[in-house]
Amino acid sequence: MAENGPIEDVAKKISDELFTRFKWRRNGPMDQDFLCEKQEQHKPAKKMQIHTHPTDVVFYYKDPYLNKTIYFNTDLKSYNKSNINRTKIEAGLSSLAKSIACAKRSPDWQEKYIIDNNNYEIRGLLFVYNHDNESTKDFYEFFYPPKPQSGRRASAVKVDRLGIEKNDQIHIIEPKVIDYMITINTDIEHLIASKKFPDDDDDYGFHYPQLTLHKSSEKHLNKPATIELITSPYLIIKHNETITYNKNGDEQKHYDKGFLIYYNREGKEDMEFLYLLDALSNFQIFDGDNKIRIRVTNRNNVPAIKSVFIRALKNYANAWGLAYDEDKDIMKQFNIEINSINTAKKFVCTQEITWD
Amino acid sequence: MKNNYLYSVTDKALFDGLNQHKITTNHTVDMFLKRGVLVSKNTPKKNLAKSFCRYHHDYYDHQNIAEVLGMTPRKEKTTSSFIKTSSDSDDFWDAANELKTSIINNNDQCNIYMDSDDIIVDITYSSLHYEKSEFNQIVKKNAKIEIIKSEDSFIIRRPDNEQFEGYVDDIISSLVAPKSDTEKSDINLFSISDSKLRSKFFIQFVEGVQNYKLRNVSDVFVYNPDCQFSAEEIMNSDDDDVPEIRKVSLKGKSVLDSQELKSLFDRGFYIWKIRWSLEEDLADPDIFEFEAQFSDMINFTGFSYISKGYWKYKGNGEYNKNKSQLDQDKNSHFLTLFEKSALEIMKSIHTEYEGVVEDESCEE
Repeated sequence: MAENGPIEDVAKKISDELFTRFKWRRNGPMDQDFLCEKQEQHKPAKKMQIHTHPTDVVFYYKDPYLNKTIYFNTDLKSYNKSNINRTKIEAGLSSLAKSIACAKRSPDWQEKYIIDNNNYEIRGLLFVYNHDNESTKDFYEFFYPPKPQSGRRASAVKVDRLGIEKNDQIHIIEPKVIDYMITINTDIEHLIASKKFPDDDDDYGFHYPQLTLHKSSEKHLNKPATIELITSPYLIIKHNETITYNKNGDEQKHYDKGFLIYYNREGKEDMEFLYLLDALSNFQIFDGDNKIRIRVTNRNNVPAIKSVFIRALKNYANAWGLAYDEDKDIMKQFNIEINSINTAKKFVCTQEITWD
Repeated sequence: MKNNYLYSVTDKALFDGLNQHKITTNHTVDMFLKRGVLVSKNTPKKNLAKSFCRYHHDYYDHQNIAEVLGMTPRKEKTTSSFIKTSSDSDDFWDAANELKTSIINNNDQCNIYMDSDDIIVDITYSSLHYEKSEFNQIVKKNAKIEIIKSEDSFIIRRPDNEQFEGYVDDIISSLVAPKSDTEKSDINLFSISDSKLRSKFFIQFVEGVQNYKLRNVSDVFVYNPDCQFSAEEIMNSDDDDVPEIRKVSLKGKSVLDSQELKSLFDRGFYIWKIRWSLEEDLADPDIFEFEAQFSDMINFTGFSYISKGYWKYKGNGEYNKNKSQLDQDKNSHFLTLFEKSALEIMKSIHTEYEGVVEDESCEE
C-alpha cells in the first residue's frame, strides 16, 4: 500500500480529531488536481502545460437552514511565526477563489465529490494551522494590520484583488477557530466522562431555532454545526438525557436533557448577556424548564464573568417581572448556569504544508 | 414588561437593517471578514444580507449595525467632578448603595460594582417608540457614574445631564464625612470673563493631549458676550430678528488658523464648543475625533467632552471610510488625559488672569 502524503495525513487528522464532533464528513479522493475550466483567465502566461487546480480534501454537511449540502473545496496550509506573510496569503486565497470558480463548472470535480446532485453549493475553505504552536497572530490582522510599536504598519491583504466570483464564499478556519473547536471537543469529552452528556452521537445535535426567514427543515436531533454556527458568537447544542444501563439492564439516568451553549465572547458587559438571554428566550430555549448550561470558551473572558452574568439575569428577570427569591441562587431558580472553561490544547500537528 | 428593555432582533430585522442604504457593501464585507469569510463585492447586497442573518449575532453586532443606521441613542457628553474629602472608597460604596435603593424604588435599574479600584454605578432606563422600525423601537439608555480614586481626591464621571447631576449630588450628600470636609469642584472659567483667555483654554486643550498630535479642528463655535441681551434671553431666544450676531459656527479644515476666526476673536467672540481630531504620535496612526464644550457658554461652566469615534488605519496608507466607536478602555484612557490636561490648563489660565488683574490694578 502506498504511503500517505502529508496532505492526506493532515486531512485525516482534522477529520478525526476536529470535524467528527461537529458532524462534518469527508468525501472523495484527497490531494488531487482537477482540470481548470477557465484556461484563458486562470492559466499563468508563461505556463505551457494545461492548467489545473488543487483539491487537498473535500468536507461536506447538510445545512439545515438552506436545506442543501455544502461542499468545501479545502486548501490545507500550515505556518509558523516566520514563514507567513501577506503575499503568501493573498496568493493562497486567490488560488482558492479560482479553484471554486472551476469546481462549480467541472464535471470531473463533481463526479469525484458530489453525493447529492440536486441541491448543493461549493465553497472554498482555507484550513490553516500553526505547526510550531508559537504564532498567536489573528488572521483578521492580515486584512487590517494592527499598529506596530514603532515603524510603519504591514501591508494589508486586499480582498478586491482575490478574484472571488459573485455569490462565492471562501471560509477561513484559522488557529483561533481550531482552538475553539478543540476546546469544545475536549469539554464534551470531559462531560461524557462525568456522565453529564450523552455518549451516543445520535443523542445530540446542533440546534437551529426556527427564525423568521430561516426555518430548519430537518426534524431530527442529529444536525451538524454549519461553518456559520462555528464562527458565530455562540453555538447551541441540544442533547438527550444521559442514561446508562447496569448489569441487570436497568436504566440509570445521570443527567437531564437540555441545551449546552458554547459562548465565544468575553462577557465584558451585562448587556452582552442580557441580549443573549433575550435571544435564547425568543428561540424558546430559556423558559425556566429547559436545563441550560453556558460554557464560556473565550480565552480573554473577564474573571468576574459569573457576576456579570448574574447581574444580567437579575436585570432580565426584573425587566420581565419574573419572580425569584433574592436570597437563593438565581441561576438555580431559572435552571441556567454559566462556567468558564479552559482553552484546550492546541491542534497538535507538526506536519508542515507549505504555501508555495 | 415592567421596564422597557433593549431586546434582541430577529433574523428578519437584521436582514432589513443590512439592506438599508446606509449599510454599504464594504460594511457587510467587513462583517463577513470578522467571521472569517471572504465574499465578493459583486455579490448583490441582498444576497449578502440574507446570508449574514443566518449567523447568530450578539449585542455588539446589533450595536454596530444600529450605530451605522443612526439608531443608537445619541450618546451624552461626559463631565467630571473632583471631590476632596476625608471619606474613603468604602464610604463612597455605601453612599452609592443608598442611591441604588432610591433608583430601584423608582422602577429603574441600578447595579453597583467594582472595576479594579473604581466604583461603577450602572443605571439603565429605556424609552419605547412603537412607530419606529424594530431595530429602533426601544431606545436603551444606559449610563454609568464612575467613582475613581486619584492621588489626592476622587474623580466622579457622569453623563452631562441634570438627572445624573442630581444622582452625584445625592452620593456626595450621603457621604459620612462632615459637609465641611468635602469639597466638590469642576472645570470652569466662571470667574474669567476675558474672551481671549476663554478661547485660549480650548486652543491649549486641543493641542496639549499627551502622546497625541492635533490633526484637525473641524468645527469651532464662538459666542460674543458683549451684546445687549440678558443671559436668559440669549439661551432661550431663537428669534431671527435679533439684530446682533451672538453665535457663529465655523466648519471646515484647520478652522483655528482661519482669518475668519481671528476676526471674530478681535470682535470679542470666544470659543465655547469645539470639534477636533487627534492622531497618535506614531507611524500609521489611527485618527480620533472629539467634541468638547462648556454647556453654559455664558458662565463658562459645565465642561464636558465626548468621543465621536475613530478612523481605523486600514493599511497601504488608507483609512476606513466609516468611523468606529471607541471601546470602554480607550474611552477611559482619553477621559483621564482630558481631565488631567483640562485641570492644568484651567489652573494656568487662572494664574495668568490673576496676573493680568494685578497688572491692571497696579496701572490704576
